[in-house]
Amino acid sequence: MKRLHAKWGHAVSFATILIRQGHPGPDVPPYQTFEEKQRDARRHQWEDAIPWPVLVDDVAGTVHRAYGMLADPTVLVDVDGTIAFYNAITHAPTLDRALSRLFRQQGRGVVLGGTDRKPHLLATIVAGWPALRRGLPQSAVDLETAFPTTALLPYMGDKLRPLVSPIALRATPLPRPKRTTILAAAAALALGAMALRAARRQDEAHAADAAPEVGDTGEAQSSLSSTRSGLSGSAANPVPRSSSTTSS
Amino acid sequence: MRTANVHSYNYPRFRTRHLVNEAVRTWQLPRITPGDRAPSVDLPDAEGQPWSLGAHRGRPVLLHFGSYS
Repeated sequence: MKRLHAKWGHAVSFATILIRQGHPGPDVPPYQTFEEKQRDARRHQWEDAIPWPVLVDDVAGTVHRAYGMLADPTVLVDVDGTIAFYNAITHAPTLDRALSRLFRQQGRGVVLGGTDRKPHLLATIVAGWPALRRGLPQSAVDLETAFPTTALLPYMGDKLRPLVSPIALRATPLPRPKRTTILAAAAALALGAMALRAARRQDEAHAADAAPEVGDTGEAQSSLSSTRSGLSGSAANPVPRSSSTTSS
Repeated sequence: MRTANVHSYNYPRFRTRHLVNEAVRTWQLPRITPGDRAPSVDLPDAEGQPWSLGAHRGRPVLLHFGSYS
């Protein structure tokens, strides 16, 4: 969003509306008062270096409810105060396209069909951890319990952030040739991994076939019984105590 | 009633039902219709200064809804 703001901030007003705690935890309990919410708005603005206003909704979430009550949407309002576009899960490249289209329409009217409901999972996974971290450990436990891997994936996404952010956290859509190349590389990697796995399984099967057969059952049983007799012999003849312990 | 609403809105723990509700709401989006007038937004910012959507008429606005946690 900051990259989007750097590109469009001169012509578009940005505002974040602080909603309820998405993933409560010991240090981020559910809001009881407006003052608690306002304090978090200040922390949010400061810690995440947000260069536009962070607005504070009331504790009941009145404005949030009026706008559909989703966890992470962005709404584009045109110059006449009409909803031009609803991005159900905030995705900067999609918003960049919506803004480009809006300015081609002189800032008025519905753009890109009005609604985007795609999950945009990669961006969510890569950018989701910092907020989740504030509610640890409860936030991660609750999310994993609600749906396994939904906390683990953002954690891994955060670790891989330097590597994947040029793709996952872009402000503008990835050009088509690059998108095709990345998809082809990912498909090649996946196919390569599957081929390696299949080859390893085949090797293991060959190794199991080539392993020497264990002797017949009678031989195995006689070996086992001789081991047992050795053990019982030891128990029947324990090591005598040293004389020093008995002399006193 | 209002107290109950406030409590259910500010849930103490994130549960599977919240994830399901989110998916259902994303699919339905019953309260938002592109082309309709945007619901009014008159809220204070983090420092208590008033901010109004109506005051930005003549300029597009991006309203992002987000959580601290």
